[in-house]
Amino acid sequence: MYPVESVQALLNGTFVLAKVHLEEGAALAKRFNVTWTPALLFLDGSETVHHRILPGSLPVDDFVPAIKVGLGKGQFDAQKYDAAIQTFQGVIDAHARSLAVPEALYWRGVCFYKKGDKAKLVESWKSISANHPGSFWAKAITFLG
Amino acid sequence: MGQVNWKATYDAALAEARSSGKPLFVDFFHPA
Repeated sequence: MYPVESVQALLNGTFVLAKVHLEEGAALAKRFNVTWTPALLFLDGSETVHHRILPGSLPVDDFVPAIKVGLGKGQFDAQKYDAAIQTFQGVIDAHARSLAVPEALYWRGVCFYKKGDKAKLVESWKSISANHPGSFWAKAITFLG
Repeated sequence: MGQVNWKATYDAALAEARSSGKPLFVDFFHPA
């Protein structure tokens, strides 16, 4: 399904996979408001969409951590904060140079906040400002000062 | 090659996600 072994291994080990042709699967695409490809959706068994990667045509060094962020978002939405923190930490540790790190830091911080640790939220978010100042996520937390 | 039944493909994956508790990764594609 995916030519790169690391991608295939991550997906097979973590998710149930479904590949759908945009036009031939138009009813499904319409249901999930997918109008362009590649569009990668992260759902749960209730068909709730927890994350999207669009366009999904990233180079593998960004694609793998982006998938992990999607996994973490699903865990966060399910209030599995410890698992989500571990997933986001995995992105930060293993993919330090990827575009996904600022988002992983953001959501890791929110997970800590949800667990009652505001100090760790601030620590995570300050790391975004310090190390990824030009990122979307740095702009999203400028109120932090 | 026969027409792929995309709904059946998706439904099978959804059923597996429900029974296993694994998240579902759906890749919408369109050949260039």
